[in-house]
Amino acid sequence: MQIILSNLERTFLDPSGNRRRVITALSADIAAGALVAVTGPSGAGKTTLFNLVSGLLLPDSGTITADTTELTALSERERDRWRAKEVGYIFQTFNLLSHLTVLDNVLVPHLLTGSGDPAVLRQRAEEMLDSFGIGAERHKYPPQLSGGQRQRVAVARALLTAPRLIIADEPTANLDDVSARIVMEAILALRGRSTILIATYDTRFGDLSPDLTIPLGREVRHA
Amino acid sequence: MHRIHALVTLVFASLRGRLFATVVSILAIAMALAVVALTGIVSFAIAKQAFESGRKYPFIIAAEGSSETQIILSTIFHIDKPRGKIPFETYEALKSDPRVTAAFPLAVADSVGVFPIIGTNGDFVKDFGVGFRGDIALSDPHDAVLGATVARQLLLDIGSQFTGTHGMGGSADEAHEHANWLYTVRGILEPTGGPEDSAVYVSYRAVWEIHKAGHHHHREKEAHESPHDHADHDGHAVKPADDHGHEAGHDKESADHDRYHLSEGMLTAVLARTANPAQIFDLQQEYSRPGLTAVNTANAVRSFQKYFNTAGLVAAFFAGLMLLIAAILILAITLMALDMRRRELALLRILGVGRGTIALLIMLETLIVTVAGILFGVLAGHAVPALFAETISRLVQGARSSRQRARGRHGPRERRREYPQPSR
Repeated sequence: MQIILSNLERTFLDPSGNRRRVITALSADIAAGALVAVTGPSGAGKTTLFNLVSGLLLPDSGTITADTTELTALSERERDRWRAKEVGYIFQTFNLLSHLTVLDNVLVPHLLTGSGDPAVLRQRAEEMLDSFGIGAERHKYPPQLSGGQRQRVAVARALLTAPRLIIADEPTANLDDVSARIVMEAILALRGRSTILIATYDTRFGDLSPDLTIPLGREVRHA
Repeated sequence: MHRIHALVTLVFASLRGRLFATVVSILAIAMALAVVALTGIVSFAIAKQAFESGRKYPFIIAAEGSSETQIILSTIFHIDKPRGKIPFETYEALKSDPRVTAAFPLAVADSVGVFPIIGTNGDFVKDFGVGFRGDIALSDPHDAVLGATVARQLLLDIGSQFTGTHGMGGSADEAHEHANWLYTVRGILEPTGGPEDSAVYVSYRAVWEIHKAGHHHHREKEAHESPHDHADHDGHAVKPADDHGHEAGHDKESADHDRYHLSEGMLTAVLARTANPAQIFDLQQEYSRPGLTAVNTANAVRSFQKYFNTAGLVAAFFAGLMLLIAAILILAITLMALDMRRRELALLRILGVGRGTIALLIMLETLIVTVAGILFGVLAGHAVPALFAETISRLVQGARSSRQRARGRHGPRERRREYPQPSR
């Protein structure tokens, strides 16, 4: 999925009532299947950028175009549908629904948004859990799992429908080596097929050699 | 289809995840509704019975010295006891009166356990228009027809035999068993939900026979242990016609006891209907004479209907208050839950679940809790009267005997209300 960011501006009101610019004049042309590293110190606007690109937030000005779809021109409902279909979102914290089983956590959001044949999704979910080494925990609840196991579940949920855009917000922070490796390999395995936006400080995997780096707070640097 | 399944999975998982809040919410609604249902059921039943009694037996004659409310309670609802005796001729006169379309004799003196034995005739029982098994003609003085509750609780069926106890509902100082008079169950009425369920119907002739022939023979449980009781009975048995010179207290007690010893030719009340409602007023005038109280049921019911209406309003107010509290509680719990679930809901939004679906999710959860609460509440509202029917009837019995003791101290006279003629 090709993504074109054009002159994005986004401000927020801080608690003292001042308007704070988080994203300023951001433009980038992200080729389909590219691996994009988003860098910048904490508070530089990485999460804001991810929320803009996934259609959760709208910019104050500027446009976002994904392939032929101008995301910023869509209604909230249309952006929800687009996100459910096209985006796999992985967070730093393991955001699972604690009262659903592991398998349901992977499946239910996709069933709710009607993205794909349920039988096929279920089979793929079980395969993914197996390949992530947590197939045996599929009927357990998140609080019964370790942090690393939970993040593997979250990655399985994000990658289940092989989305064309993957957003990974520090996906391996706080993870043990085994889990971190599984998570990172699963994400990078989709390089070339899915467009991947990743923010990470994890040095355990060496240089990711991204196709593009978006250093927030500075100019975009093409590789 | 799969979306609905996913939605339901999520809803139930979420309810299970907040089990405590869910259970508390369901209980709150259930309790509020149970109170509302109970209030509604009870006041509707009372209002309906009171209204129907006015329609069915618009004219009642009982002994002087009873209030109209007492008379209606004892003759129609069987929850207060009769206060005195009237001559059988009153019934015969009414029966042969051309204005009267139906008249029924009542002679109430005994009971079986907590259930009153109503001495009457088969016409009265047939007049209920209630379904029945067996025979309800009461053609023999030993025949009995049972209300549904009586048959169920005393484990009696057609052909079973039982004896009555003198007096109403086990006040030990008066009760003695009529052991030598066996009733045989001939008919059992279908449940009506009304006072018929808790009554035993026999021929008034049985009541006469028992108290005429049986009085000197029946086993008196405590008579010989208590000199007071003994004296009382002697006083009754050989009571002379001019027995007015006695000390007042003793006379009253004696009369109190005597009231249940219905000798031949005496009844406790007569129920009657006329073709034309206006004739009730004429009859009431004619029969308001010494020794009798003539009641225009519809008028009397209207007067205590006012009381029920006020009581109903108070009950409705509290029921409404309960519902309001339940609603506030549910709102608070839902809002608290929403606050705690902000993260979870935000997550669903990020995963592409639309606002509409999330609203649907929350509405479904609330709906399930509400429906479950309503279901339990209505069930409880219906179950409570059924489960505690026995307790309630025991309480009524307790009220009867304590009222009776109180009456012994304060005297039986209560002013009868005079009703204005209708301006129709």
